[in-house]
Amino acid sequence: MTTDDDAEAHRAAVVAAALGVVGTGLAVVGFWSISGPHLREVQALGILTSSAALWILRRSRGPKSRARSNALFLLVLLPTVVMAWMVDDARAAHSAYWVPYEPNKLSALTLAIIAPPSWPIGMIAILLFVGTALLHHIMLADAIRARMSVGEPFAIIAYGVFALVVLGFKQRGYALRGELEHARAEKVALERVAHVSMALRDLANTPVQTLELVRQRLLTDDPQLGVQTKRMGRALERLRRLNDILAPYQSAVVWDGEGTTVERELLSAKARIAAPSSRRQS
Amino acid sequence: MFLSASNLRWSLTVTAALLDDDTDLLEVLAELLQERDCRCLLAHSLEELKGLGPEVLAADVAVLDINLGAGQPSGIDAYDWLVSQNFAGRLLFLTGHAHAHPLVARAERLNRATVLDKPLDGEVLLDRIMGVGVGGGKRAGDHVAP
Repeated sequence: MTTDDDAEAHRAAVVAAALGVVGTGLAVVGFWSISGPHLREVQALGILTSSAALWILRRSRGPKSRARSNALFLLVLLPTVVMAWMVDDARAAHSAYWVPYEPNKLSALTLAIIAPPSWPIGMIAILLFVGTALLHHIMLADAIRARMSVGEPFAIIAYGVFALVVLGFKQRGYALRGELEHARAEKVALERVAHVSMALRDLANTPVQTLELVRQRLLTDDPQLGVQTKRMGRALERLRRLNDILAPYQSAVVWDGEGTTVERELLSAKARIAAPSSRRQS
Repeated sequence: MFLSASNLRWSLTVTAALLDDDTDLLEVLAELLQERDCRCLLAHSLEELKGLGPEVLAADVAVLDINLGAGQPSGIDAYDWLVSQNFAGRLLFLTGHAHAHPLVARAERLNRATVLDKPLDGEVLLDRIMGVGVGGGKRAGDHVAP
């Protein structure tokens, strides 16, 4: 779970709350003629709940709480579920023939699209609308079921299945994004290590070359000095091998001037190393 | 004493212009080359190199450190200046930087130059500067690693 996932969960809750306000507002107008006082109370409660959730989410500062975002995401759905149930009852009572569970179908698909980065939350949200529609279908009297459009309950089941498939793609997208971010973070870290390795290599090479030349200068016929220069030569050979260890990292370095933080840090470090010596060093 | 024209000895066989911002490296390299009867002209920067006058342009070989310090003209700038002045000698770059470094990559693309990687074995470095075993002295795009 990353900070980005927390932000996505927050965004999902904000969108769900905003859609709750807009959707319920449209339902108030759309079903005004067939709604009774109870439905209007639930609609009012829905708008109130979504507005309150929106307010809580918008006023939060700093790090986003994933748990709170997910809780609010599900909370704003509850009045909508009740409202969808009551709307179907009202349409059954006032229409000779109607297409049932339309708010449930629309909600299931919408929730699949706006779901937060969490399989359980997405599935609960979708199944909440599909499950209550199926339950309602079972509870409706045969006479009422006879007046609804053909195809139910398979239509709402199909919507549920399709919504779960869309949810799968959505969650896969979140997972891929997470993997990409992880890979990017690894690349940045590797580049940093590579820059440091290269800087160490570059800093070491000039003094090693100087020591090698000094060793050459000390080569004389004096047997004692010869022993020392041989020892020095072996030590220098080991230092030279450091290059072989560091060399593979150079391919990971992206040279883009002195603009990156790492490059600025390294320039500063090189300046500090060079400063104490009166002798200049490349 | 390396820089003075009065030190010129006509018996010397090779004249080398050495450009490096590391004084220790520059001096010990010059001492070793002088033991091989090589006359050395030393410079720490492009400005000093230019200040050495026409003797530099008549040198048999120029050994240029690629990175001469932050904000300073590089060995590549020295190469460009020498070529623009019709320098006829061999051109060797000496660098401790990785091949992927932009300046080293540029140096490797230059036709007349050979890039020598620090740290080289002392004998090998001296041989390269003196032109021993380099078949005419110039190998375009050549690169010598430790």
